[in-house]
Amino acid sequence: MTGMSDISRRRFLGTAAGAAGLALATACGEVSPQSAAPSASKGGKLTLTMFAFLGGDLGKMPKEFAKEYMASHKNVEIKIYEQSNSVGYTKMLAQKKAAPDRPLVNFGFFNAQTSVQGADDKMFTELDYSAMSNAADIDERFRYDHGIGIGIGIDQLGLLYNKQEITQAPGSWADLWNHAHQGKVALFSFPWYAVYMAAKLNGGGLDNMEPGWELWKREAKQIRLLVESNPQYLNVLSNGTAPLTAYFAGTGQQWINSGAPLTYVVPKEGAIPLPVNLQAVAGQPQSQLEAVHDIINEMLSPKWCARWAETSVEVPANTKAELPGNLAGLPAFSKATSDGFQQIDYGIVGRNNAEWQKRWETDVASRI
Amino acid sequence: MRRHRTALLLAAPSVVLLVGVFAGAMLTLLEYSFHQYLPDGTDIAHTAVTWQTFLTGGYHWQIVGETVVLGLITTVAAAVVGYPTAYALHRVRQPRWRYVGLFIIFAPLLTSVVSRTYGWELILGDSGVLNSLLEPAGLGPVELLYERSSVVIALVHILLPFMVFPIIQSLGQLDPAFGEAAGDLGAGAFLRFVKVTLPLTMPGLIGGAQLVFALSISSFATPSLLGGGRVNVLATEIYDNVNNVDWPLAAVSSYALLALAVVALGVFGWLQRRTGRAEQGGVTAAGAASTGARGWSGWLVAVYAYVLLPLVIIVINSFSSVSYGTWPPPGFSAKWYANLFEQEGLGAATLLSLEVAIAATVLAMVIGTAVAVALVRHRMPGRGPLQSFVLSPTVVPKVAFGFAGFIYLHRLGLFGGVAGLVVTHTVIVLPFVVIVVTAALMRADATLDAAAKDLGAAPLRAFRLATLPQIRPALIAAALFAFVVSFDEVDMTVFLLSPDQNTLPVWMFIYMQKFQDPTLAALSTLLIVAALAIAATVAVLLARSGVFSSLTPSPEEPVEKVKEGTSA
Repeated sequence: MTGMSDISRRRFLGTAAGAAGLALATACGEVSPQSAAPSASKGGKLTLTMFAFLGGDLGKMPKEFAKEYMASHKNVEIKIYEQSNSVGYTKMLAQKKAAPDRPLVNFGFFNAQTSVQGADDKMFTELDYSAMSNAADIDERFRYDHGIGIGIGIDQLGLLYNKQEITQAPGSWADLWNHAHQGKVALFSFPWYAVYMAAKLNGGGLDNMEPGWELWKREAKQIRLLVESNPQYLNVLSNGTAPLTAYFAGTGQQWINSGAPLTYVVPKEGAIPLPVNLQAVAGQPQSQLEAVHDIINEMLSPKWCARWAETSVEVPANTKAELPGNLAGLPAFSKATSDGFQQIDYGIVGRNNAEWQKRWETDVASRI
Repeated sequence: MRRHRTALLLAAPSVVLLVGVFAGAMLTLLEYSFHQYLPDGTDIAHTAVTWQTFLTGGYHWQIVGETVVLGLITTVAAAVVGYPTAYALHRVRQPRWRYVGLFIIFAPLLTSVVSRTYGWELILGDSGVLNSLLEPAGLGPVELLYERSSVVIALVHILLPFMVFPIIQSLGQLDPAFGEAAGDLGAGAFLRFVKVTLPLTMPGLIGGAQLVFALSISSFATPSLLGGGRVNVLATEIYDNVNNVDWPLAAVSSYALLALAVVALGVFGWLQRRTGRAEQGGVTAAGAASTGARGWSGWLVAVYAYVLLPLVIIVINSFSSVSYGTWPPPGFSAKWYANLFEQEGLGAATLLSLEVAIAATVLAMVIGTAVAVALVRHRMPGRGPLQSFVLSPTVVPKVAFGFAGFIYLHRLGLFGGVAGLVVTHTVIVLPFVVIVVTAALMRADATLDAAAKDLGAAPLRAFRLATLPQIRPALIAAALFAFVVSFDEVDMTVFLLSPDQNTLPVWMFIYMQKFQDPTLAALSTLLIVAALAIAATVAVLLARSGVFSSLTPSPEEPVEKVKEGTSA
C-alpha cells in the first residue's frame, strides 16, 4: 500500500465520520429547517395550501372551489393537501415543532376532535368573524366564542346495518349491546361515541363515562372486530361478517348509493352531530392570513356550503344554504333529526380523547 | 487498528449512513420519550414519567408478550413451510420450472399490502372462499378471520420469500462431495439430510428466520387489518399513539420494540456465527446437483396454491361489477380499469416510486455488500454490535421511523426532496441486502479469493473474479428484495412526503381512504402483469448469462463446467 492511499483512506474515514457527526448533531439541536409548505410567493403569486379530508367525495368541493377562486383571483394559487385528520394533523404538529413560523398547510377542513386538539396545541389561529360577511349566516352552534374555526357542515353518527343479514331494523343505540346481535358488531378502533351512549343510557354522560365503561367491559363479546379503515368497514358490513355498526351518515349514504346492501338509521335517542370546521393555521404571515380569511368567507357562502353538503352528504352549516334535492328526502337530513341531535361538548371529548383511548384498549379491546 | 483498516473502510459507508440518518432520527425519538403530554396540550420535557408508565403498566407487557408470540409463531410456521419448499425447489431438475417456482414464491411481494389483505379477507371470511369449500364437506364454517390465526397465515404468505431465498441459496452452495461421502459411508437419505444437509444449510435457515422474525414483530398493516382488534402488538400500539398525538408513549414503545429486536438479532447472529464455521476448506465451490423433485410435487403444488390464491382473488375481483368486496362477485365489469386511467397523479407517483426505489437499491447494494464482506471476511473487533446495528432498522416500526424522520429531515434541511426519501429508504432496505449477502458469503469458498490474491490479484480484483461469481444469485435476490421493499413502502413514506409529493403506494393508500372500489385491485393486477413481463425478460437474460447455474446447477450441466465458470 502506498502512503498516498493511506492518507486518502484516513481522509475518507475522517470526512465520513465528520458527515455522520454533523448529521447526528442536528438530531440533538435545532437547525434552521427548509420551508415545508409551498407557502411562499411563487412567480408573483401568493401560494396557499388547503387541507382536505380523505374519504368518499370529500375532496370534490375543495378542488372545485380552488379552481374557481384561482380563476377569479389570478394572484393566488391554492394547492390541495388530501390526508386523513390523524396522519395530517400529526405532520402538522411535527412541522409546528420544527418550524412554528412555517406551517405545513395554511387552512382547511378539520373535524371537531382535531379542532379541539388543535386549540389546545395552539395550532389554529382566531378568525375575525366581523371581517367575514358570510359568518353571520352560519348556524350559531357552529360559531365559537373563542373564534377558533367556524362550521361549514355537520355530519352525524347513527346506526348502519346490512338489511339482508338483519331483518328486524335496529332503532336504538342499545341495539349495539343487544344480545340478538352478539358477535356481529363492528366498531372503529376507538369508538368513544359507543361508550358515551352506553353511559348516557345508563345514567351517565360525557362527564361520567363510568356506566359506559362498565357496560362495554361486560359486553365486549358483542364486538366481532375493531375496524381500521373505511374499505374494511364497507366489506365487513356488506358481506355480513359484522352487519351492524355505529357510523357516519355521509359516508354510509355514499356506500348505499354505490349499491351496498346497507341502511342508515337515526337512533330514537338521537344521532351524534359531528361538525366539520374550517380553520386557519397559526404561524403564517399576515398577508397569507388575510387571503385565508377571504377564502374561508367565500367557502361559507350559501353556494359553496350547499355544494359541500351535497358532495359530503352533510347538513350545511349556512342557514341560507339550500339542502340539495337528493338529500332532502333522507331521514338523516330532516329537521327532526337535526333538532334531536345529542348535545356534545367537544371540549370534553378532545381533552379526554387520549385517556379514553387507552382505557378502551385496556378495558374493552383486550376482552373482545 | 491498522490491521483492521480494510474492514473499517468497507463498513464505513453503511455506518455513516446509519449514524447520520437512522441514529439521528432515533435520537430524536429518544428525546421525545423523555417528554410527557398532558391532555390539555401541555408538553413537559425532561421527565421519565412516560417510561415509568410503560414499564409499570401490565397492559404494555401484555402487548410485548403478544408481539413476541406472534413473531415466534410466524417464524416457526415460515420455517416449516419454507425449508421443505426451498429443498423441493432445489431438487427440481428442469431449470425453467425451478425459476417459475422461485418466481411464484416471490410473487406476493409484487402486490401491495392493501391488495393482499383484501384477498385474504375474501378467502378467510365467514362467507369466503375457504368456508364455501369446507361447508359442503361438513367441516365449516370456521372463524379464522380477525383472529391471530389469520394474521399468521397472511404474514407467512408475505414473508415466505424471505425464508426460502436464503435457504435455497445455502442449498445451492452445498458441496455435493459431503453428501456423497456420507452415502459412501452408509448413511441413508434421512441421515444424510440430518447430519449433512441441515447443518450445512443452517446459516441460510437462520438468516431467513432472522428476517422473518424481525419483519413480523415490526409489521403493522397485517395485524392491524386482519387482527380485528384482537392482535395488539407493539407496532399497532405505536401507530395508535402517534395518531393519538401521544408521541412520548409512541417513542417509548418504539424503543421497547428496538430492545426486543436487538436481543433477538443478537441471538440469531450468535447462532449464525456458530453454524457458519463449517467452512468447506477449498474442496469445491460448485453447487450441489439437483436430484429431482419426485415425491415433492404435491408439496410444491400446495405451496403454490397457498401463495397464488390471494393474488388470483385480487385479479378476479378487479373485474367485479360492485364496489365492495364480496365472494363470488355478483357480476363482472372492466369499469375499474377505465376508472384507474382517469386518476390524477398516478403517473407522477409511479415515476417518483421508481426513482426512489432504484436509487435506494443501488446505494444499498454497494454499501451493503461492502459491510457484509467486512462482517464475514474480516475478524474485526465489534463485529457483533456492528451487525446488530446494521440490522436494527428492520425492527423499528416504519411508522415510528417515519415520524421521527419527518422531524429529523427538517433539521437536516432534506424534507420535501428526493434525497431525503432516498436516504431513508436506503436505511430500511440495507438490512435485507446485508442479511442475504452475509448468508451467501458465509457459504462462499474464501480459499478461492485467497488463491487469487496469492497469484497476484489486487483485493478488489480477487473479490470480483473469485467471490462475486459465487454470490451473484444472492446479489440478485438482495437487489430484488431491496427494490420491492422500497417500492411497496407506505407506513414510513406517508410521513416523509411534502403535500405536493406522492409515491405509488402512498397514492394507493390515499385512494383507498377516498374510495372503496376495486380500482386498486385493477392497479395491482396491472403491476403483477408488468412484474411478470419484467421478471420473464430478466430471467431469460440471466439464464443466458449463466448466473443461475451457481444457484441450482442442473444435472445436465457437468459440475466441472460450473467450476470453470465460477473460479476463473
